[in-house]
Amino acid sequence: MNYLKRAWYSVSRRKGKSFILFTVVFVLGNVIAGAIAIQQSTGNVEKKMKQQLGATVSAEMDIDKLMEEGDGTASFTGPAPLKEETIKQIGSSSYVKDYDYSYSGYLTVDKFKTYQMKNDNVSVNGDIASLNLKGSNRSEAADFKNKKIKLVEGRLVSKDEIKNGKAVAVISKKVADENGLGIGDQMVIDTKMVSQNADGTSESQEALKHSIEIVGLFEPITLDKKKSDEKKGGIQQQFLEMDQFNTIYMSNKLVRSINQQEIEKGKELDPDAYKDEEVQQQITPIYNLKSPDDVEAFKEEMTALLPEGYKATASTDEFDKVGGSVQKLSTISGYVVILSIIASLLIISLVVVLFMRDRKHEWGIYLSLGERRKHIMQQVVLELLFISLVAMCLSLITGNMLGKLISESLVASDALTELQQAAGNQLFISGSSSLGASLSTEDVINNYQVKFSLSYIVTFLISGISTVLLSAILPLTYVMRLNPKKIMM
Amino acid sequence: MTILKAKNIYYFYQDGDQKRIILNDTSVSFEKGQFYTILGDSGSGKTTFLSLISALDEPKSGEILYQGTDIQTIGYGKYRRDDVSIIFQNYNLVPYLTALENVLVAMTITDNSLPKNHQEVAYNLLDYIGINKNKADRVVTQLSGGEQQRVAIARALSTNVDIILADEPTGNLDQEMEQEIVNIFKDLAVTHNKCVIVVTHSKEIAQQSDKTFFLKQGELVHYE
Repeated sequence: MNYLKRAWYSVSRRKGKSFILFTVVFVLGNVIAGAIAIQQSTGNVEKKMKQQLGATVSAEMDIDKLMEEGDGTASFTGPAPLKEETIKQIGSSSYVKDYDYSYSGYLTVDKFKTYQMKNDNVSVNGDIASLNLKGSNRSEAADFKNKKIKLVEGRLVSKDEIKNGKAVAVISKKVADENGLGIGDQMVIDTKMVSQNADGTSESQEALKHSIEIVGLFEPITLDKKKSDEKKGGIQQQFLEMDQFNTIYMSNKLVRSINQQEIEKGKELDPDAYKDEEVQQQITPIYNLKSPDDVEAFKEEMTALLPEGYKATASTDEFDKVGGSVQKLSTISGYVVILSIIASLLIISLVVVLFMRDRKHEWGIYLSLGERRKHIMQQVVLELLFISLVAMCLSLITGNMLGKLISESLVASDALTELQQAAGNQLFISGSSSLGASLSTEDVINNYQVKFSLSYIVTFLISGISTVLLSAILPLTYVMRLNPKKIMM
Repeated sequence: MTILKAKNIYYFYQDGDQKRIILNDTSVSFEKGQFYTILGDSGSGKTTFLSLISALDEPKSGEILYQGTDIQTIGYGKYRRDDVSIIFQNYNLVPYLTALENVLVAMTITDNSLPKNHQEVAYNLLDYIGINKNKADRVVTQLSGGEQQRVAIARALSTNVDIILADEPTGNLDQEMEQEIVNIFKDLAVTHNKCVIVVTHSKEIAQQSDKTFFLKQGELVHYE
């Protein structure tokens, strides 16, 4: 009849007391388990989404900051373009696996048909149609690599064509269809110069004709995914869509050459407007990192090297924009875990101390028989563990269900919808990222799952057992102070 | 042969600013195979004396020697575990255990060498004391007062110690039961060569013991 057997008999024969302790541990265990389940799920969704978004970091103009400096208006003087040396210096970081940089251009077109958004209520830039040029030093441009777009016909721009700056490009299938063009055709992009008059009207003059061979056609991937958003008629989504369809992918050399021609033509047609215009080439670097875990550290390193007016933008930033609700849930559940552990420590300690006082006669008997205090303590801990383990195993299941229920009701609540809208607005202001990553709150919520994982079980059992063991400290000090004479005589 | 010796024991209770002296330089010896009783008025310190020789408390000065060694040197816990057993007036059994299990608890705690078949030994002891197997398997709260005291005696015997101490062991029992318990004590001393020391207020029990001490004003005196 050692202390192990005594502990077992005490638990199994003093059913009322065991049930009370079981209920206390079970209820508190549910709170802890639920909070851990939510916290782990939020952590998992963040990790999963960031893995999906990839470890890509870019340098972009800090539009928010520039607008702030320009008194909230969009009329600001942009910062000087990034220098290739700066891009290469950043690219030498140990976090970087490889990097590319992209020259970009913007062409206002005349007869060449562009893709226009379907919303009749919104007019984009009046009647001005435009195309975006995106250059690359690699055959597989970042948008292809990051699976923002996919090649549906033809091929990518070859290495030799990139090296020589040959006039070949990959355009969207939609724009090709609009203009009745196909693979191997020469598209002629006729640009125009638009100048504003004092009375608010605008005048346009024909500028240049750029003849470029179409070698491939692409279709967006991420936009396909958002059909549900499109149905809702989100203007923001349609802007992004239009931006993407009207993008032409070519070599950096070709973009630079077109930009140069356009500026020179501008100077020729409208010397006043272009008198201060330098041939400035906007470059956007794209760094692929070795691991998504390095993103924050690399961003910090990169920000220090970037000139004023630029900021480091990571593909994973999209999650931070739209995943606010999940992160908030993670923070709240973290607090709940800590508070419930503290509450459990206090409540279990008090309950056990009360039960111990009830049994002081029993402890006195053991001490008068010469039992070692450590064995009495072990009996107390074992009894607590027997009951707690059963309660915790049950609350492992019910707590997970509780976490699921709470998460679902929170996700369905208005609070999250508001957050979703706020995130959407932010995205609208920022425009589409050069990294191509596009994510909605819906994606985050769809990926959010409260799972019954091994790490959940281990985390809960470790924190649960530790809490129970810590809560035994106070009762054990009671055993230490027991005086058998006072109890027995 | 002296098995237990109290030497110059001094003990007092602090009552506010006043000291209430219970034992004043008291010395007494106990031998194996003898049945002792200690008499005294209420509050004279009988139970205190018992708590000192059972190592539940320690004297302010003086020493208690077991087989010539101070029990403080032996260690109070070890002394209680291996050398002495105590029987209380209110039985003090673990309420959720059976009679058999209560005996087995003591047998597990002691470091004394006992026969390996603990359960059989415990059943035999209980049977010797008057608790049959059927009652031995009952939870102790289902037994009468007399039966519970028998279980307490069986528990005291189970550890095979030399000294059995009892504090008013028949205080809650009727006269018939009291006599049965006294007979057991006498048998333990005579047949099993134990040193049995019983604190009591009953002169009837004292008359049946081999030697009686009377505790008065802090002195233990031989009582004829």
